[in-house]
Amino acid sequence: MMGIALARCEVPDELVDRLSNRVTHRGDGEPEVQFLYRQRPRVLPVWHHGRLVIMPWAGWCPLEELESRAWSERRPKQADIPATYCVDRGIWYQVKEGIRGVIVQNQVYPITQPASHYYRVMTRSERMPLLIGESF
Amino acid sequence: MIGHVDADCFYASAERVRYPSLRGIPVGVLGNQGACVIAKSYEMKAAGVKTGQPIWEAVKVCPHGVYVKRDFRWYEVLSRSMLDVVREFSPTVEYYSIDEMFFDATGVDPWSMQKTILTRVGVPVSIGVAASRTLAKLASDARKPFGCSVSAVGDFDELPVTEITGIALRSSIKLSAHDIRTVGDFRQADRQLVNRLLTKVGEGLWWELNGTPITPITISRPMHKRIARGGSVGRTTDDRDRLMGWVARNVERLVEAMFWHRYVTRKLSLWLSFKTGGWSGQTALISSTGASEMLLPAAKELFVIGWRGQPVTHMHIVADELQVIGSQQRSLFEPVKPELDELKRTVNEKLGRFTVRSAETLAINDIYGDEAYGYDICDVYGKSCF
Repeated sequence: MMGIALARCEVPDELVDRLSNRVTHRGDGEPEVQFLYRQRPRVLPVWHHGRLVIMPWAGWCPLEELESRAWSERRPKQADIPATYCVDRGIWYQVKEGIRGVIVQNQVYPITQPASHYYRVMTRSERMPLLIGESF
Repeated sequence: MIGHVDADCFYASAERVRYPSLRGIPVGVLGNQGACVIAKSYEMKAAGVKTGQPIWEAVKVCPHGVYVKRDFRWYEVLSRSMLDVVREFSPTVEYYSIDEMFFDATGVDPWSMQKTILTRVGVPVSIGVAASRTLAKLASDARKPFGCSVSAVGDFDELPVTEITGIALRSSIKLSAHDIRTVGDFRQADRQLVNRLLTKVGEGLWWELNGTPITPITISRPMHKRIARGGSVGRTTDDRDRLMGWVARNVERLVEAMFWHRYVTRKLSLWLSFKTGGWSGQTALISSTGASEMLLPAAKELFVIGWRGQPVTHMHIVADELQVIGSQQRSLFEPVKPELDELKRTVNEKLGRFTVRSAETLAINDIYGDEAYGYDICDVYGKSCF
């Protein structure tokens, strides 16, 4: 997963003011705010203490490592990364709510897992994000 | 007069009903493998993406397109809502396919119907009204998207003959040898020549294009010649347990369909597709049955005969020589009672499809965990066509 897009209407105005260079249109659709790993600064929107905030995107957190408690010492906190679309290897796909992630020292890491057969065929990627409320 | 309702890019429109953010952008709906675009929005079509195109080719011509997973349960909900609206306007409606309906248009205001479907269901449709089904379908197709028209004989004379439903490439080659290339050429051709070239079916189209309805609106689906269940086996495999799992799954789905239609069968076939080539075989059953207690062992026996360890890509199980329950010929043998199927049905109706299923399907548990495999287009019952 190399980035997400969030519908503009999902982002509070005060945040959009800071992210105006990320607001884009896809065809005649509603505007959206894109957060791509290749963009600088590298950030993601995160629900934190009931508010949508922007946090540095530090990398990925493999689900297997989280389950084996390899991240315990870092004291990861669960976080939800809202998304309307995700992009992986150039393929944009629609998601229902967003992605599960963890916060470590005020940085966010989207959680990844081994790709399902469907996801691997669709994106040719070996890892896929842990989606909220749906499976691929 | 006959009317034809045809939803505009139905699967993409259906996704836009529940996900409004998809409006105005190129949308591609993917098949159950995630590999091919099975439907697309007009925006994606305009970018050059073709139906059936692999996603890795589609993304080259439409890099900003958004891809969604197909969901036939949702498409059926909207399809039946459309059907309800059409039935409010007309007493005689044929549920032709998941996104098409024919109706008796006598006294019907098609513009009002179109508006009602859009406001109540959220799906844009095109409607054609004409003297016959063939003309009505041409009318709705010709005015897409969101068209609505009442057409007369001759309105489509300039269109290529392949635009007529029922005339595909092979028929068009036969016709072009006689300089019949457009709808007008076809309509004005000698009727007996058309009959010679395309049989009685082609002659029926000739009458319809000249304004005489031949095919009536059918409210209930005519009896099937055969019922098949199957398709891709997910990732290509030579794992015997997985393949047996698919045999069991396809038989269970076949039994479901036969029960719904109240059919029994005397003949079962198995079709296997390999990476190169394929195999098919059939077996006669000792009595007409719709019971998995008889059908599963027969299908497994066919599989053992036909499979020689090759990687399988697709599998179909087909019930032939169908009869309606109660009308079948009596057998010398005591018929097998579908007790197991009844038990499964009772539980699954309460707790969800496939809650109870054959233990042999455990080898393909991943398929049952994938929503895209949970419901297929053929599980939408009552359609008169595919």
